Amino acid sequence: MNGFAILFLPVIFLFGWNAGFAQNIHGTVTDSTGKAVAYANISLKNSSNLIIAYQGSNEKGQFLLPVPEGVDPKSLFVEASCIGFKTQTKPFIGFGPAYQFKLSVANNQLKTVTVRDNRPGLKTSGDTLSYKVSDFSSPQDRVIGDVIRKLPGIDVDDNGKIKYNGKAISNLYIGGDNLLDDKYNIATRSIPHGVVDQVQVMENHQPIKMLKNKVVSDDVALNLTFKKDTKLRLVGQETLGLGLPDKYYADLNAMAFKDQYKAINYLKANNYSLDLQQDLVSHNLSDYLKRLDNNKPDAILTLGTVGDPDLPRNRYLFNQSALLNLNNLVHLKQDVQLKVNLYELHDAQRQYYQKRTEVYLPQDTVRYSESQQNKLRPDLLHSQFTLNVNKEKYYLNNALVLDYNHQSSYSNFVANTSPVNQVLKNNPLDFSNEFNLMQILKFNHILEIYSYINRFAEPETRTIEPNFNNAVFNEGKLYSQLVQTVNVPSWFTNNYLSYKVPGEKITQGYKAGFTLQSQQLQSALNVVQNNQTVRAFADSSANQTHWLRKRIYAEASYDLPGDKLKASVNLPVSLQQIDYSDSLYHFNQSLTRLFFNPKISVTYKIATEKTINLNCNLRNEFGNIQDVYRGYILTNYRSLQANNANLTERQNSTFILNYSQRKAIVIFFFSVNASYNHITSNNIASSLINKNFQQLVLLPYKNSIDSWTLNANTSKYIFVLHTTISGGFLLQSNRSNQIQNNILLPYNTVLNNFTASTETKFSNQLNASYKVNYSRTKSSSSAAIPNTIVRQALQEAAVNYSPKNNLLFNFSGNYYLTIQNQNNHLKYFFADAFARYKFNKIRTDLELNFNNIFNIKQYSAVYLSANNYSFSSYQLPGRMMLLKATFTL
Amino acid sequence: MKKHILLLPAILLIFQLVKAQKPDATIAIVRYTFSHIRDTTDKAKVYTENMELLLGKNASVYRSADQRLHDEKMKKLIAERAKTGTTSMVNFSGVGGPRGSATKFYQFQAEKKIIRQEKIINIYLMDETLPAMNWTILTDTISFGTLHCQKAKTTFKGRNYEAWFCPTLPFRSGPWKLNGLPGLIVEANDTKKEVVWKFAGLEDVSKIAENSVSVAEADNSSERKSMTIFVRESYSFKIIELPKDGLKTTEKEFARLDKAVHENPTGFINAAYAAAGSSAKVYSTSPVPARKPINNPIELSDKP
Repeated sequence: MNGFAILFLPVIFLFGWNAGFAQNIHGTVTDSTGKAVAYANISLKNSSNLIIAYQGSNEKGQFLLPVPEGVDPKSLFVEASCIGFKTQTKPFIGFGPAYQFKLSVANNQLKTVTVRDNRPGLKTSGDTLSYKVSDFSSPQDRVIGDVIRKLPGIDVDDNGKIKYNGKAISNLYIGGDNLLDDKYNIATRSIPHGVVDQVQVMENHQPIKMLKNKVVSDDVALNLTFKKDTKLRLVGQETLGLGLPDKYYADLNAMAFKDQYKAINYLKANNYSLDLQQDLVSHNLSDYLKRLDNNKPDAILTLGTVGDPDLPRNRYLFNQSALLNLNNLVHLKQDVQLKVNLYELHDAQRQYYQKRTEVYLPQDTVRYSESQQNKLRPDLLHSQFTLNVNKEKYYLNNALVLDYNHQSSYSNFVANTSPVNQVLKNNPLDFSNEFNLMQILKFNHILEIYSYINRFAEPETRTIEPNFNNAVFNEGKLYSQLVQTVNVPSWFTNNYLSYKVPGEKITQGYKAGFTLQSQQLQSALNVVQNNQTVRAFADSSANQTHWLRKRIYAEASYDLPGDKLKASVNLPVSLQQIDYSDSLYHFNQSLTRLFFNPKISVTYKIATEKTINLNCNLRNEFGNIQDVYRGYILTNYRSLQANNANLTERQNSTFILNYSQRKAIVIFFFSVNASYNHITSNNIASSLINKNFQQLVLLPYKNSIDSWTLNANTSKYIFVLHTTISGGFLLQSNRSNQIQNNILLPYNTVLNNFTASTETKFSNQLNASYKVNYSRTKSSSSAAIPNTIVRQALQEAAVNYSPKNNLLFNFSGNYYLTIQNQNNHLKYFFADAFARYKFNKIRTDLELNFNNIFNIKQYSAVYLSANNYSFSSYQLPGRMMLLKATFTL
Repeated sequence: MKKHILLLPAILLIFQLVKAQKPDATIAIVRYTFSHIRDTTDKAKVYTENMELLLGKNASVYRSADQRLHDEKMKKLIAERAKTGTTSMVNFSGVGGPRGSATKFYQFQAEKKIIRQEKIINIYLMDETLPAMNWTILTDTISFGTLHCQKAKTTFKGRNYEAWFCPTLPFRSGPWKLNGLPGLIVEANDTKKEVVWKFAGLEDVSKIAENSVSVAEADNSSERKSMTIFVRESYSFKIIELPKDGLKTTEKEFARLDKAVHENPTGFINAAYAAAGSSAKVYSTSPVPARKPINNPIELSDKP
């Protein structure tokens, strides 16, 4: 440090702004006739237009303004302002010369600043930005999610995922407490907005107290603060409703937002197409599992090939859902919290889907048709117990999670004119415990112990009966059932010790640990004859694959948690060994690799509200057990999958550059994001298509995928119009390869997306919103097949009219338009409405709700790609009506 | 009766009329919702009052909007009663609306003075030097509608204050005694939030109609006189000036007077009537209410 000072001392003297010696700027203020202006304000401002020093002029119009030490003289300016005169600014030209201000007279200075009430305002304090909920709420809002959706600078997608200035949030805190982890839809869909005082955005959020100002975090978290009276009482809204045809709705909740106790407990049930599973979305799950290096096997079997329509869930869902959800957090002592999260979801869903597919091959065209009537019965049970101690010198977190699902699905199915029944049962069991301890030792060094263990199994069984495709499966003879079973029981553990040395500027961290993953893939495809004898479909239709992945790793990390410049560098080295074998196919392989997966993140604050961020990341990855099994698995009725290559090795490099800017004072947000992702892989998926089957095989062929993304988002509140306008733009280009019937097809997909929205409060009685989302997808292939272009536009509009304080009318419409070359345009218009009347005396309101007024009962989607045409059609629930009463506690 | 005699000299003391400060034309009016936890043993009870600050080029006056509205209603009532001739035994309890404090604070930038105005029958004026507040400017920002504000903090009379000021409105004034920032103080509070001024609006003065109801001043009947004692003050919006009949006094003398009044209010008022040449009498049937304690005044210490 001394050497540093000596080096820079001459420089400091040269420029004359040594620490401790503040300098002055001086000058005079006169009016246009040269008369001195007394008591004018002379302010020194920075590039963000913020005052950093000020002084008044004396009776003679003179001023002497001391400039605080350590101020960067670049991009400063000096401003003179006085009532009755126009404000004048001059660039900062150093300390020597006098600043002569000549102010001209201003008339009616105040004409434009009349403010009758508190209109929206954002408050900034350090890394926290606060929105006052009452400034942004409207009469039609019910829950806090309705308000968050409208906040300038914040974007919420259809799944409820919240983004602030283009960046997904890490958590939503309830009165400063982490009640829900990343399942924050529970809060946004339940908490009445009236009890929330502020929504706070916390940038560079570091939840662990002892790591604050030591370890860099670029997480953005949201916090809800509650009104004073709310903190003392029980909060709840109890809603019951009945409707046509045979509709019901219930939402009974009890919540507490006390300093020592937080709770969100509710029972919800409906058959009104409102998907309760969306309450349970874990928004950052994939990031979390990636961080743990725990790749859980996906479900392998499905009922058919028709996906869900590209409409919001509440347009197409036939459901009978019920969800009991209990979330409670208690402060046992200061900084010690115990949390219990439990839920049970039961649903009975129905689907009526049809699909026709044509695949154009060089010699032939293959056609499939299928129609499905599905009945899905998921039962989801979740429990989580968390103990958290978060003190200045000590941190402990232990989370025990147990999930059990019982899912039975039934399908009446017609594939290429042969009717069959399908039953699919999968019952995943997932248990994990995560333990994390940090302690501050001597010299402020930090020791961390971490241990995670996970057990996961998902037995899947699918039966198809009777006589399905007997030419293929039973030598042309009639038979009873075709049974496919799969299970991938897994153990995974990750453990490490880490030691952090916080320094004056840089925190060094060293970590050493190991992971273990042990899995078996067991599968069989059996044919049950009419006389109940069972035989395997083929020799190559079973698997007994064993898999063991061992990894030891060491990592050095450096964190620079500066005010202007934040940087973190992670340099992990790992030695991985994978053994996999299958006695049925007589193979036993072992693979050892040394990997270096560096990660760099740099954030630079250009000015108070302008930040630039660069992230670079290189990852070497292995495939998983699902890439190495050799025996065929019938994943759906017409797809047979197997592998015929060695384990996939991928190298994934990512570069992300982000610029974000806001001007809270005028409620303006802007961000641009550019990213590049390059993946090289030693294997490629190859599909063989014939009349009855699509066979997927993994082949050893080196290939790469490149994708570029550029997106920009902005939003602004316009005070005079009481309007929030937002806009976004996305350009994405993707280049990859596929092998189809032994032909290599290089693919290029370009996506353009444009969104714009406005939200206007015309008066306290009337507000309206409009949103448009336009996208254009162009896919092309160098294999001389014509390009395909799909254009889609979605427009949403809503009007809310509240003639009296206790009466509200809402009307909204969604218009979908899909255009493809050589095809008819597909157009759909959905309209909804509701009216609400509040009985203030008994704290109850009545709402009459109409859904899908124009009674649209069928939705179709056409998809055309280079060599594939498909037409899907879906049955929709049609017009519904619901009358519900809500009582507020 | 004895007390009246003792009090009379105090009232009849000839106070020197304050040397008039230059009147100033009002340019804008800021409204604040003022709240104050007066008793720290009962924090749930918050005293609130609607205040207004009239801003001129050099001068400003901070006064109670609640009291102004109350007085205006009272004036109307008296004017109506005067018309119908029912003047004796006026019952004022029907006026309604919250009563505010009678205290006003004038700030004069050029003269570097704060003048506090109180009213106990007569108008009393006490002056002190405009406190030079040493504000630290922070980078936090907030906007109230189109008013873009920056944060500043200071310590004054035993409290740490945070204030949001608006550089585009270069008034150096603020509510109460707060002053000295390069822009109007739009919101302020002490860090314990025991004393809070919340912004409630800003208006261009040209849009406000002057509606002071004039009381028939030429009327000499003693009853009329007794009533005008209550409402003699006029509330101007256009001009910021000290009342011409204000009596200059010191904090100490005023405190003594104030104490005497609260120990025997009806006696004091009757004595004052007598001094003003009125034969009216005030009869109070209820006992004198005890003054609510203020153990947490705005000024916690004498230190600036």
